[in-house]
Amino acid sequence: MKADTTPLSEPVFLILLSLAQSPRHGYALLKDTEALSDGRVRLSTGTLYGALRRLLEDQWIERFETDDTSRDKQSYRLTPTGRKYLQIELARMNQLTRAAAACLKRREV
Amino acid sequence: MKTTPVKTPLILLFCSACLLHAQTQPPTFDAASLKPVATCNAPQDPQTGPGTLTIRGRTPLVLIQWAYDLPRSQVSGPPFLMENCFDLIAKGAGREDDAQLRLMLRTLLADRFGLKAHLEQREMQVYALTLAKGGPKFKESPTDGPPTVDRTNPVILSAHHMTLTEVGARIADEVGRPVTDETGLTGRYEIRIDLSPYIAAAGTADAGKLDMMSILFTGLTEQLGLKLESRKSTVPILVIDHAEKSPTEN
Repeated sequence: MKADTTPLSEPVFLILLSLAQSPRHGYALLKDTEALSDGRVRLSTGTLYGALRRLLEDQWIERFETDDTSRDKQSYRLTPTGRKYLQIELARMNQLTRAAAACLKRREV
Repeated sequence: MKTTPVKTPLILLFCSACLLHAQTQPPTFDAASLKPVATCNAPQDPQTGPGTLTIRGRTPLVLIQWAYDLPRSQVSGPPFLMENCFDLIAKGAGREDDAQLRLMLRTLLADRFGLKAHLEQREMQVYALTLAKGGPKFKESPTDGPPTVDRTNPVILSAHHMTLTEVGARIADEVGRPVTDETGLTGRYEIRIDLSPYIAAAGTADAGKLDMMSILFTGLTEQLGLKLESRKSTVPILVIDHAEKSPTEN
């Protein structure tokens, strides 16, 4: 079965990528997504909140209760669904990168 | 006078046996198509009509949740139930309501995924949905209709014909715990919260913290007159004893 290759939005991709390493709380997600994009993407609280709500609804991520029960430290973690579709997105990007490199190489010859 | 004292009880006995047989047979769909889909990129909320159920782009876990009417935090099962997505289109023999469709879906899950599960009561941290000071700030639905949720804008929670138990179930996934409805309100309501005013107030990166939960908590209180109170409570948990990763063929 060929996977649907609808691209993920960049904020969603970065959030999933960040959570693929370990569970994180809201503030850590803001900092990590900025670092992952080499400072290019700075998510606003609104964008982060909207993306997290949608990902929670779709069960790509879930809330994760930590020992620190303060609400600002409540973490999110990737679900198996989220990890799978992050991998699908990476495969799509890899295929696109390979195709683009091949096109440029042919043009140069 | 001519009487037939034996025949009537026999017929009654026969009919009772038929009825008992009909009642003990698990309810089933007349027709059902369950197909794997390559992506969960476009998941949709379950759609029901009289005698019809459609769930697109969802994992077996979501199917189980709908069949047992439980949020994620009240289902305990293996991670593979969240790996693959399916489209389910099912029809009953008549105009079955949601409660009957849920029972029919349980039968389908048992047939196709070999699902075996049991309910048990567990004491755990929950959020109790209660009325805030000043009482509710939402209105009863003026018309009848199925509960619907508008997913257009993730910072606006908009729902129609919802019971507060259903509102609690929607919130449960966001707060990561069961939400018990302790408002005492039993009607169906029109619910709308715009969370955008609270997003900026939730915290800033400079302050080194960001309280995502306060956005929802504040919105619920200020715009709906509802509160979420953390407490311990005993709630039903569905424990998955067995399920196959892939369903049998249609």
